[in-house]
Amino acid sequence: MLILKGIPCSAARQRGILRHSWLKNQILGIDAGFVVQMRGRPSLREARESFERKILPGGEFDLRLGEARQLARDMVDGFSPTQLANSGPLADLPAEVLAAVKSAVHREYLSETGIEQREGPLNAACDLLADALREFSDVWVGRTSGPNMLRKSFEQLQLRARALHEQLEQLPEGIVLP
Amino acid sequence: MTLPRILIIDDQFANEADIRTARRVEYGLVEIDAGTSDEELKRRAQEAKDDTGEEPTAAAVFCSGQVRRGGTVENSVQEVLNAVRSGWPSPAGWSWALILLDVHFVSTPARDDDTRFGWRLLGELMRTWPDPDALPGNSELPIVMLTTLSRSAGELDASKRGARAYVEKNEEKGKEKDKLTRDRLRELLGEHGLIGDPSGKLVGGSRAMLKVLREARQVARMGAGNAMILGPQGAGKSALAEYIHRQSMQNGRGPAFVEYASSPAVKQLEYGHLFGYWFGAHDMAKESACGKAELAHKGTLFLDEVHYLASDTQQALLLFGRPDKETGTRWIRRLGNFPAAANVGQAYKSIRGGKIDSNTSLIPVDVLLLTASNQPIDDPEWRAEHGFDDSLYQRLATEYAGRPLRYPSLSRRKEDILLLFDDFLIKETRKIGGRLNEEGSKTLDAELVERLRDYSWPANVAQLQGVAAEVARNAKDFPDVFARHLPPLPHDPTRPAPPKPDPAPDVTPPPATTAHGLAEAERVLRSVQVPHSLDELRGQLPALEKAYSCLIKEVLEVTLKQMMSSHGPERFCLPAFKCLCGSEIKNTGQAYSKLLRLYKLFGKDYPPTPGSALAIALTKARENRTAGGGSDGDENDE
Repeated sequence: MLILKGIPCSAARQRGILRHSWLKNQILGIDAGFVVQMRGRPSLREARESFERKILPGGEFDLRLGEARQLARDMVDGFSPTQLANSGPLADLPAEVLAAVKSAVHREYLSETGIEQREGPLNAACDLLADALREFSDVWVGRTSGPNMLRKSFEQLQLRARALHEQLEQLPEGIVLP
Repeated sequence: MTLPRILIIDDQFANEADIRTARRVEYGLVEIDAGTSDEELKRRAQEAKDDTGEEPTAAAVFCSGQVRRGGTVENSVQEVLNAVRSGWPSPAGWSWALILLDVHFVSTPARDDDTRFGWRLLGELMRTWPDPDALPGNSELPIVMLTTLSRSAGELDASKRGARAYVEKNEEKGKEKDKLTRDRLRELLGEHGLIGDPSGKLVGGSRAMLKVLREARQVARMGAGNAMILGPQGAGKSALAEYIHRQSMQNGRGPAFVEYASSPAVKQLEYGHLFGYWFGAHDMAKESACGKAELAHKGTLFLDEVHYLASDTQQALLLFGRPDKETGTRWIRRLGNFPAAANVGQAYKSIRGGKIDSNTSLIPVDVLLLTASNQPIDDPEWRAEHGFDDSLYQRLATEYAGRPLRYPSLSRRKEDILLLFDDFLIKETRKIGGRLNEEGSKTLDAELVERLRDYSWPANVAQLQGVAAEVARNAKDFPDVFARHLPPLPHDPTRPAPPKPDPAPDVTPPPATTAHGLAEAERVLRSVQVPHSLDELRGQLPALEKAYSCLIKEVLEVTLKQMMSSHGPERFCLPAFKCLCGSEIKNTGQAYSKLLRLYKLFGKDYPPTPGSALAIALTKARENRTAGGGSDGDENDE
C-alpha cells in the first residue's frame, strides 16, 4: 500500500487542519492552568475573548466538529484511488473499462485500509468531544464554578480531543494506492 | 541590558490571542512590536516580572506570514520578508536575536501547499540573507524551526534547508526534551541567538560582535578543548577570553582564569612560567613552583600574544594542547627533575594540578586552553616566516573549535562606537568624580558624535577607551560634551593626509591634472568585474571609491566653474549647488554645508587643486562656517 502524499487530496488536507491547527494547537497545546488564569485575570481579556469565540456554542470548535463529522462521512471516497482515474491516461479508457478498473481498485483499497470501519469510532470520538465541549463551555460561563472545576473540565476536553486526534492520526495522509 | 528581541513567524500565534498569550506565558515572553523602544521594553519586562514572579526570557514580535483580503487569508512571503527586515537591523540598531519559524500556515480557503509554506519561507530567507562568512546554504539569520510537525517528520528538511535547530511546539510522548519551554528557549538563545553580554563587560550590539559572542559561547560549551582568538591590537581579545571563561563556568568549569602574555623579552623563562619547575631546575629555582597552567586547573588558561612563544614552549604546548579525549586531562612536565629527599615535601606542596604520576612526575590538569594573537598567524606563509609551528596552530585554533574566532576591529562594528564610548566615558567620569547628567551619563554633542563615528580607530577599542578617558578629564565639570573636548586624533590611515591650507582665491584655470584623474577613473570603472564573493567586492571597493570620488569632484568643478563665470567668484556657490541639487538648496549656508559634505567624499585622495573653483568654494565654505553662519544675507537667499 502506497500513500501518495504529493498529490492534492482534500480529505488529507482536512485531516491535517483538524489535527494540527485545531486539536493540537488550540486544545492539546493549551495548559489547563492558563485556561483558569484566562477566565480570572482582567489583563488577559484579549486572550479570553479569542478563546470564547472558539469554545462557546456556535463558535469555531463547533464548526471544526462539523468538519470532522463531514470528514467521517466523506473519507472513504476522499482517500480512494478512484479519484486518480478521473484524470491522466486512465481517463481516456472506455467508460465501462474505466468503471471496472475503478471498482476493482476501490475494493482493493477498502480491503487493505479497512477505512469503512473507522467511520464509527471517528464519529463516536466527535460525539464525546462535543459532549465535553458543551460541558466545558457551561462551566466556563457558569459564574459559580471554581477554578478546580474549570481545570478538570478543560482536562476532560483535552482527553476527548486526544482521543479524536488519535482517530484522525489513523487516517491516511494522502490518496491510498493499494 | 534589554531583553533579546525575537521574531516568531507563526499564523496561529499571531492571529489567535488565546494561543499567543498561552505560549507567551509558557515561554516567558514579553509581547512587543518592532517599534518598541528599549525604555518601553524595560518597563514591560519589569511588569511581566512583577506579574509572574519570573524573569522574562525574551521580547517577541509575532508575524502571521499572511495577508487578509476580504474573506480570504493568503500566505505571503513578502509579509515575512518585511517583518524580518524591520529588525535586521532595526532603525534603532538592534537585530533579531532569534527567529522562530513555523512550517504549516493555514490559508483560507486552505491550499495544498499550506503544509510546506514554512519550508518555502526558510528558502527565501536563506537566499535573501546568506551568511558571507560561511559556505553556501547558510544564512546569517538565526532561524529555528518551531512546529507541531514531529521531529522525525521535519528535522531532515530543517537541517537540509539551513535552519539552526528544530523544536516542537507540543509535547510528544517520551520526547519532552524536544518541546519548547522557557528553559529550552534560553538554551536556544545561548546556542544560536545573537545576544549581547548580559554582564555588560563586553559592550556592543553590532552583528559582527554578536556573531563572535555566539561563537564564543559555542567554544565555552566544548569543555576542555582549545580555541584561538585572532584580532587586531586593542580590539578586546582578552575581554572575549574572559567572556568565554564566564560562559564556561555556566557549563560547569571552575572559576580559575589565568592569563599569560608571551613576550619576546622572557623567552628563556617562558617554559617555567607556563609549566612550572622543580627545585634546582635553574639558578633561580630555590624551591619548586607551579606554572600558570597548573594555576588554571579546572578553569581556563589564556595565552595572549601566542605568536611570541619560544620554540621549546611551542613544542611543549603541542603536547599540552592535546587533552585526553575521554577525561579532558592534559599532562604537565615541569622544568627540571623531581627533587631528592630534602625538598620532596615542598615539591608536593607546590602542586596545584591533579595527582602527580609517581613514575613520570607528570602532573595532570584540566583546563580550557584559549590563545590569542594580533598577528596573521592563520596564514601559513606568515607561520613559515616567523617560525610558528604549523601543527601547533592547527591544534590550538582548529582541531577543537573548527576555526579561530575572529574578533572584529572597531572599524568593522561602527555601530558599537558610541555604545562603547558612552560606557567608557561614564566609567571614567565616575572614577575621577566628574559631572554626569540626570540620567547618569554625559550628553554628547552631534558634532562630537559625527567625529567619533567618522574616525577609523586604527588602534581599536583601546584607543577609544583612551580618548574617552581624556574627554572625561577635559569635560570633568560639565554634563555636556562637545567636539572641542576631544584630544587631537592621530592621522586616520583610511583618510587622506590632512588637506593643505587653501591658497588665496585665484580664478586662474586649474592645471591639467584633471584629464589624468578622469582617465584613471574611467579606466577603473571600465575594468570593474562582477565580484564573485564579498571578499572580491571588498577588494574592489577602494579603487571604485577613488574613481567615483574623482567623478564627483570633476562634475562639481565643471558646475562651479560655469557658475563662477556667469556670477563672479563671490556669488557662484549657491547657483552652482542649485544647479546640482535643485530646490533643496535654499541658501548659501546650505550650499556650503553640502560642499563640505561632498568634500568628505572626494577629499580622500583628491585634495582640490590650488586655485580651482573647488578650492575657492571650499575656502569660502570654511570662512562661512568660521564666521558662524549657516546662511548669509548678501547672496539674495530665499
